[in-house]
Amino acid sequence: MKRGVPPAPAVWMVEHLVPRSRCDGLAGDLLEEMVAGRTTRWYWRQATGAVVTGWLGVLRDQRSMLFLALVWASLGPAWIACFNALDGGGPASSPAWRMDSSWGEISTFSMWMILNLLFIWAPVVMCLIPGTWISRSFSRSRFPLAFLLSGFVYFAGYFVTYVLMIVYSFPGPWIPWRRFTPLTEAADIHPWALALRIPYLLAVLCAMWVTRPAKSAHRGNRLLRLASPNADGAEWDRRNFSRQGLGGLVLAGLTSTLVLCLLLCRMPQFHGAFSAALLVKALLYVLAAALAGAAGTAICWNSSSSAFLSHPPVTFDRFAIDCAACWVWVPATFLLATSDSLLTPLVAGLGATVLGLRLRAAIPEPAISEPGARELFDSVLRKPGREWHGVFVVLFVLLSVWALDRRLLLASAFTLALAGFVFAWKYKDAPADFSDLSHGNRQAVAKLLRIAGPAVLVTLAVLVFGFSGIGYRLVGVVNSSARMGGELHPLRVRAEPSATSGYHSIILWPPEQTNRLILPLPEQSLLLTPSAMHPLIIRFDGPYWYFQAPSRRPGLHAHQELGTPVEYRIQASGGPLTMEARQTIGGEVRLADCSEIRMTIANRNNRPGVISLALLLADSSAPGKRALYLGQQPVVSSEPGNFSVKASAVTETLRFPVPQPARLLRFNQIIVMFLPEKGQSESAPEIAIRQFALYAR
Amino acid sequence: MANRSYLGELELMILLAVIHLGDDAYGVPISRELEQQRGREVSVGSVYAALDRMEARGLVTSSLGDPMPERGGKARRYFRITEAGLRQVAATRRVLEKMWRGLPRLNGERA
Repeated sequence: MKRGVPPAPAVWMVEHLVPRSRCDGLAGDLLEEMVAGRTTRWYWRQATGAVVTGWLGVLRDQRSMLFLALVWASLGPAWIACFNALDGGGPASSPAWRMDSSWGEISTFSMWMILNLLFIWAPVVMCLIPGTWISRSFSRSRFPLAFLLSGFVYFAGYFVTYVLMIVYSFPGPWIPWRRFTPLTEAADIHPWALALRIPYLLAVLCAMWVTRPAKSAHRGNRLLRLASPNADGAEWDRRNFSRQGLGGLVLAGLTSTLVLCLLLCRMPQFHGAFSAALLVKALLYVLAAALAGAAGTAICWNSSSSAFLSHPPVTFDRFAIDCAACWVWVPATFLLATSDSLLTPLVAGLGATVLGLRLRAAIPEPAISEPGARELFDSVLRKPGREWHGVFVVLFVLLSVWALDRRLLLASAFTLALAGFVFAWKYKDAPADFSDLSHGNRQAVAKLLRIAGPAVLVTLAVLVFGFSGIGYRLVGVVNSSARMGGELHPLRVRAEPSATSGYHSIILWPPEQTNRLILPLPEQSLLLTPSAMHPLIIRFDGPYWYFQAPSRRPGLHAHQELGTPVEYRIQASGGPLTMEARQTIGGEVRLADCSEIRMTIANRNNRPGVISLALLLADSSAPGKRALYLGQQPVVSSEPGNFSVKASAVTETLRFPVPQPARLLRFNQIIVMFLPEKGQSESAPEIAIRQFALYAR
Repeated sequence: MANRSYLGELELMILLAVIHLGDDAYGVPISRELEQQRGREVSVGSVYAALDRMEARGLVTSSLGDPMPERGGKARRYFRITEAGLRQVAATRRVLEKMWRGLPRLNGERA
């Protein structure tokens, strides 16, 4: 190698891998030093150091993007588990998802790719595009390139990690997806979970990098700019900026909060009594929601494309505090929605109204043109503009009521929240100027605490009482046809003509093996003691079994349903159909502690005739699986004397006294047998079990 | 993220080198100056990284010279200190002098 001539690969590194802004000057300097007598080894050291230092600087500049990509990629396994849980198999359970076999059909691959691209592009759409749009540096031409590139990077990254994982744990890792929940997968640090995150991280970074806008020229001392708008010499109107991008910031915060609620918030399996654990849980949910909302807003606010980074209309602290007044209501809304409660829209509307009021109090009206430019009596003679917001509010409220009537709870909550926000925004007067923005944080925190207190109480009430029956008791609009697309679900089991007899017969498929999460019982010493004021409430979430003679209990050929029987109808031919419901308890209840069990049911059976429900308590851990028969009670609303055609489900409570302990000392399973009279046994009764209330002895 | 209002060791030394070199302050002489004063090799890449950071903070400005054949057709990037940079250096010097003033003579230090 000639002295004074740098090695070609090192020159290529400097010219292509060092960030463009410093590439030319640096390459020339290194060459000048080589000509002056430096060694090749020195050049290699300098080239490597320049590449590393350059990219560390780039990562530091884009740290918010890197942080978001890391957080999002860490949720990759949770996304797969989430889809797996929702789909109950399907594409998520295909070998390609599990990384433990080769790919199969093209359709599976396409679905796999589409779902992954949806996940990869969610943070880009959520954070970067609103910011890019705000800063007016949106370049549409980059998005197709970014889309294709991110897809390719994900595919290539997945392929490489797939091969490496097979090599690492030959013949491939065994991943029991069905055992996992999205929450556990978010924190999973198994090697294969980490490997799954790598292609997500690369693809998200690629998508963000290509779509990022040009670096803002106004970065620097933000506080200085807020105090003195013209400190950087550029003319800008803070008030005009305040309106633009506000929706994007709120949306980013709301999305983060909802994602957190999806991962964290769960209704307790058992409720009916206040406990410190539930209070802690409510506090945790509210606090986590506020923090997640603030984090989502911060990421969007601090993205390099955000106009709020350079020209903030308000300080971030103030904005985040005001938005948090809304986020604290999200856990209660989410829990109510999961409980199918009609209170969901009310709480959502309340939260949105609070958000509108708080944001309105923080952001003044846009600047008005100078009075001198107007004509005399201009403001008097000018026709007032039409206030369309009133029409929108009424329209949203009507839509919300309509959706509520159709039991579209989420749509109802969304429209009522919109109505609440628009109403609050227009109702509240905007502050006169920005003078007290930097001093209003303490007051804003005090107001947030005053709002968060009721939010915690509401969340606690939802956790304690559930409110799941509110929808049925208040309105009783259990319109299964609305949820099933206008018509009743036909047979949920497959019917095929018999080749020999020509009769139609029912095929009862073997039950799908699912792993159900059974939460442990709360402190029984508090709940089922003689001094207990409240019963122990166990919400029914077990399966319904359908089987035919000669079977006397659910067997291999029994059919299992996890939904509510008031929303579907199951019929059978060729013999009577037996229906049974089973609730497994996450602990053992001593029979000596329990005096009575009250079972709440929802009856939508429109065939007159006597139907009785029998209750059995079983101890699956005892040898021989002992059971105690508590007798049977008739369903009054189906008796011929009380029968009427039911448009909606009728709620009824059946009482079963518990005898003194005999051969069964404790139980961990409640079995309900549906006993229709003869002539009705070919159709399963449309009766759903809501809950069991266990009363202390 | 809080804005930094102080200078790091490398940044201070680079600013002093830029002041010392005047109109001839570009990557090569700055690095040589640092090497000479510190007595060990300096990464030109980290010098440029620090200069970029300080340029973003308004402490130095840069301008490109003419392309030169002996540099493979690449231009020199000249750096100049700004008023804000000078103020920052002066403020750092005052703080350091104050802190040194109260200290006794350290072991190995010459009078």
